[in-house]
Amino acid sequence: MLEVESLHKRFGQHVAVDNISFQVKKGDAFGLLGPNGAGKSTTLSMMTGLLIPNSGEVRLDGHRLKDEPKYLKQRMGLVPQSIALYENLTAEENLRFWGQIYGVTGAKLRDNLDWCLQVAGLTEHRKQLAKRFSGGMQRRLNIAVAMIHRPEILIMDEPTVGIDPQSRNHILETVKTLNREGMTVIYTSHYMEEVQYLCQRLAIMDNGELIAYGNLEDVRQLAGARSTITMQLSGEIGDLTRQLEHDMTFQNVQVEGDTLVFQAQNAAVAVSRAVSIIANQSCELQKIDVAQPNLESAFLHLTGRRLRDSVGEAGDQG
Amino acid sequence: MIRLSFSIALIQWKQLIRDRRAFIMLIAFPVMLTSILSFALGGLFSGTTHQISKVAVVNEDRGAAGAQLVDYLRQQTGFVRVVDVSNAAEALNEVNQGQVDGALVIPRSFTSETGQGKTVALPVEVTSAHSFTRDLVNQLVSSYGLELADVQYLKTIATQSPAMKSPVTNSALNNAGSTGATSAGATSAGATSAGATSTGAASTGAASTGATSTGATSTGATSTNSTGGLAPTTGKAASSSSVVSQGTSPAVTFINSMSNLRPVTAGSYYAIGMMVMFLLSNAISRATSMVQERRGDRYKRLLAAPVGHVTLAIGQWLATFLIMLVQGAILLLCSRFILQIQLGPVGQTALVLAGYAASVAGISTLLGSTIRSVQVVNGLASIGANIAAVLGGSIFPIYGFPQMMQWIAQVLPNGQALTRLVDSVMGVSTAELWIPVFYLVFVGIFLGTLGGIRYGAPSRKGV
Ligand SMILES: Nc1ncnc2c1ncn2[C@@H]1O[C@H](COP(=O)(O)OP(=O)(O)OP(=O)(O)O)[C@@H](O)[C@H]1O
Ligand SMILES: [Mg+2]
Repeated sequence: MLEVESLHKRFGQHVAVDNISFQVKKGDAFGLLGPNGAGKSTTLSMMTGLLIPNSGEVRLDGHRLKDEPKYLKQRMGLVPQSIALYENLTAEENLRFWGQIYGVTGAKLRDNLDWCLQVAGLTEHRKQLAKRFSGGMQRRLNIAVAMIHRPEILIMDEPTVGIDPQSRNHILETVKTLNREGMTVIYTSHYMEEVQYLCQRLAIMDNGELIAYGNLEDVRQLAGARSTITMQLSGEIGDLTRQLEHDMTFQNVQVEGDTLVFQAQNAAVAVSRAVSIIANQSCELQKIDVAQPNLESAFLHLTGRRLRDSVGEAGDQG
Repeated sequence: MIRLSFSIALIQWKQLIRDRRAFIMLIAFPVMLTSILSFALGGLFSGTTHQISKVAVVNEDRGAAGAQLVDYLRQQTGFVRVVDVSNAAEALNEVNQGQVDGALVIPRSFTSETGQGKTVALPVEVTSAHSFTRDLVNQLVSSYGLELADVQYLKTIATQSPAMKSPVTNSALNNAGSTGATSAGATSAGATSAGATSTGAASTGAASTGATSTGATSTGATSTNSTGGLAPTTGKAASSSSVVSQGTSPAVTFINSMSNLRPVTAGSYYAIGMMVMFLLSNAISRATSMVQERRGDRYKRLLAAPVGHVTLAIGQWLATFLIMLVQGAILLLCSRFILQIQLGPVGQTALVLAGYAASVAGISTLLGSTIRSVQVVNGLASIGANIAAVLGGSIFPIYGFPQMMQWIAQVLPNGQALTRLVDSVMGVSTAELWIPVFYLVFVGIFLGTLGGIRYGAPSRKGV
């Protein structure tokens, strides 16, 4: 178990990370979600021993980072926010070097190397210089390098920033697979879809503070968020709107042409009620779409701000 | 740990040689630089030796030692042309009229006093030099003499003889004390007349007359088994000496390395000076890239790895050391073969170069690990390196500098490297180079270690 306890970091007067605590269980995929400047990278830097906190500590299975940095470092793999490769070296040479740095040699290094290349989908490109790689391939190699010593915990700082959707999907699926195979993953992002897709547990950071922390479902519910139900209708809608508005099950009922949109605390109950009401009307139901409450709404609820400015920029993973 | 450091150095090296631009900077630039210099300054670097100074020699001594000294001077055809003059007044006259560049008086008591193991003062007269080239070359020769004094081949102190006082002389000698640029005659004469004798006085002793020092003269008297004559013997400068003894007459020893020592041309001097300067500023610009690297995520990755920061710093140091070594070697090879510059023996040159590469690697590692701002390092690169180059003698030969500045030059790794490479050209023994080389290596390791305290260590301020 990785424990972060009361980590605090100031840069001059500016508090970048304010007394945050959380725990990551072995085998978990843990998400650290927050907007730009929230303090995610600073937190990771302190967790990986790059940055000395003003107070607080980090422990892995009872070993304190402060006392046994090498114990923790050997078991963690860091994927930095930007590409950190030797660009004039081949994929294989990069992996080999970092393997040596982590004390992996001989047959083990060869095995790990093959495994990493395969996981990153770069086996055919192993002899190619990193600088000749596409952005997506570099991102993948950037991750592979962090896994050359087969760490227990893979710590990823926004590993999908600025790449095409295919590479992004590849990475997300890879991380999901690694996690299923038992690797603990700490995943930092400001894309809520990614965290929703990958993580069972998460923490949301804003302005250096932890504003939410727990299981994915719990955090979602934190918002008291409702599902959004969209129904496509045909025929005469009539006073359907009025009927729904009088029912406490439905909130924010809106009709736009043939489309009926409303929100509900309990999607299942609301849908069945709505269907029975519609059945008594002279219109027909064509299509139903239920959108679960998401982290975006949770974040909105908690901070009164949106997590990101543009929705959908990241594609839909959830 | 060392193996890991090597891996780190190796990876940087690979990274560098596969980067075309960096590689060109590393290899092609030195070649280009020397080629351009060869083209532009062909005359200066062409390998011809400096102008030969005419020196009037007055031998008032009737004994063997005086005659031998004169003979000896005659042999130094690379430096001086000896003009026999019968008395001091005439010599002075010739100096003043510019017929000769300097005058040397061997006093009446020379043979007997050296025979008794006493120190003998050899007065030297000089004229001021006329052209820049002459200054330059004569400073080099002066350096040569001073070098010999340093190395203690022979210590005969030249003083200003009361009889020789003249306005010209005084000013010349006084100037020599402060700038060295005008001590043309003295220096050339000094360099040849057993080096230490007059040169020491010219650049350092103008003010301090009558300094005492026993030296080779007296030593020689004790070790008299001799072959006779001042015939130069071959071999290492410091170890070989030829001793003069003729019958019962007093023996005078001149360490014959005097005649083994080769002249240093301005070209050699400046080629070496350039190499030394080039390495220094390159080392500092490598520090710049180290500072940049420290802001990047690759550095974060190194920090996140279970590697001690000392290992990381040694890796950095090694990488820079290797690069400096290669670059220095290329520059020296270009000097040798493109500029046709005379260098010292390969082994000695390599030794000093290795020591110097260690030093600049230390400087680079220290700057690169402690300074946070690229601008500051850049500033240091442009200003610091230039100041160091001047103080270290890459721009003007340091031998003409005042004592204090010479001392600084010897402390600075670039000054030390320059001096020793020039020594090597002159043909000093390898034994003479060990201590300076150890000093250079020590400086490199010491500074590198200081850097290692900071480099790769977890930070409070953030990376
Ligand atoms: N070395 C530093 N010196 C001063 N301030 C810093 C330093 N590093 C980070 N900060 C500040 O601390 C805050 C948190 O930065 P951090 O990089 O941790 O955010 P982040 O959540 O990773 O953001 P992003 O999504 O943009 O990567 C920011 O306001 C940042 O400006
Ligand atoms: Mg960040």
